[in-house]
Amino acid sequence: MSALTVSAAAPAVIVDRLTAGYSPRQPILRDISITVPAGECWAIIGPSGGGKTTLLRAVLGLVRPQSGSVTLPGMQAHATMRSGAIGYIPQQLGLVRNLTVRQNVLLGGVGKMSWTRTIAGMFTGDEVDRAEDALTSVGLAGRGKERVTALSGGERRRVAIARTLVQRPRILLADEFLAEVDRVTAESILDLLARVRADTGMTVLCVEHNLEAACRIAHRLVVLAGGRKLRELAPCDAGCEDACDLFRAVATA
Amino acid sequence: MRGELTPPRFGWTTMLLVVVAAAAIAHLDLQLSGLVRGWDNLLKLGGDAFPPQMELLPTAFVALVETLAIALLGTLIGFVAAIPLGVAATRTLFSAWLVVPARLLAATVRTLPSLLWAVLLVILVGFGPLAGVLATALYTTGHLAKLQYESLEGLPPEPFEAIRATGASRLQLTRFVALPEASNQLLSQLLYMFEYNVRASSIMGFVGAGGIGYYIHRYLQMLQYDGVVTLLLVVLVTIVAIDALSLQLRSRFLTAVPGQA
Repeated sequence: MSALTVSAAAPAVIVDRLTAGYSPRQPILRDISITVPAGECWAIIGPSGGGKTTLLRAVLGLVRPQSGSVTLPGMQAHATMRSGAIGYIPQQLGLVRNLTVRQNVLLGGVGKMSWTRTIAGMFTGDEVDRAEDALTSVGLAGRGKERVTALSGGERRRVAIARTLVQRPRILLADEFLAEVDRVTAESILDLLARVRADTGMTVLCVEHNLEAACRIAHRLVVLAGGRKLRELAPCDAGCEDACDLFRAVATA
Repeated sequence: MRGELTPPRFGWTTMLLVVVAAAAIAHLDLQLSGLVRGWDNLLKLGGDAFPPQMELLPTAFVALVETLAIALLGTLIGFVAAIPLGVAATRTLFSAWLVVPARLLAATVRTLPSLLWAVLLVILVGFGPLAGVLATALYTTGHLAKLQYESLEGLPPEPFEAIRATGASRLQLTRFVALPEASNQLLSQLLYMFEYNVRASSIMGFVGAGGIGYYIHRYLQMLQYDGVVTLLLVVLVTIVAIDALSLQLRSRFLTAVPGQA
């Protein structure tokens, strides 16, 4: 792929005819191709067990391709995990339970720490300031000293976003970001995500069960079922109705 | 589906166990007449042992404190030594070239009970509590390392994946994800080990490695059963108290963080 030219439409994620899974005999993903332009937000939708999470994990490098490829222009293959240029928010968020809110946010930047500071567990004043700034921008100012387990589901999602803000990845992979969150909280988290994207120009690839939310935030929807890409929809011209119909069709097929 | 209602059958297993037990009895040539003699002796021992030697209590307490100090120091040193070993033996953090030797080392030091380590160390460093502390620390290292890597491997993978994506190294994952996530379990294991080591170190004096075991051994040899019973009662009360305290503390650690983040 000679896609290194810097333009608004330069691709950030290129998945090319990807077949991948956990066992070679039964690949979960079959022959998937998507190209996400830099700065856009794409949502993967589809019924449970369709391979949505596996696709995110393949982009992250946690699942190796059996054939085809995942290319992230501007990043070396195999070095993606170590580079810290991809943020990952798993469905369960991946917060460390015994740490405080602020400590969890600081974890977004640990990749840059020396081994001596790592062992001592010492963060610089600069790092702490940035963590506090991130907490302020997700609306959790002054909550840094609380344990993450003391927070509500919506607040924990905000902590995960703040961690991503400290990390400043070029690409964010978010899995079922709005699962188990009430409507009002979901709205505010979507707004927050939109603001973060506008500020940082971050490319987002997310898995979303909530079609309405997916239509609101995504430039494009990728419908995945049975490990295959069924369609790629623009939320505006296809509309939620169409997506819902398609959703029902694949779910009952 | 009649088959699903039948209880699991143990025919072969039961038969095998009976055969093995019979072989063991035949091999040991157990003199069951000893049981009768034992009953008579118990009455005699009871007579000899009571009243317990109360004047022995001050000595017993001093020796007990030594036993507790050996257990405490040995447990702490063992805990600190076990952490790097346990982390290195964790499959979810490191690859086989580190995991396999680390597990082998932990298994090796765990093979000998601390009493046998004490025998060896008394030869190496001489009689006294130093041998006891070192023996306890060695065994504890092996035992705790195993408990630790099992706990670390049982942690949920999501935090590791999320933090790995930030570019964190294995050392950073260990320091900022694995150890904090497992800290309650690690502390609970530390208390359990202390409790275990108090029991183990109360007999280490038998081989000259310090503590109350020395006196138990000596009074046994002098056939002063009233002294032996006094010492055993002191040990019993202490161990029961520490077990109860440790159980309570441990349950507090393990229920301190309900729910998941």
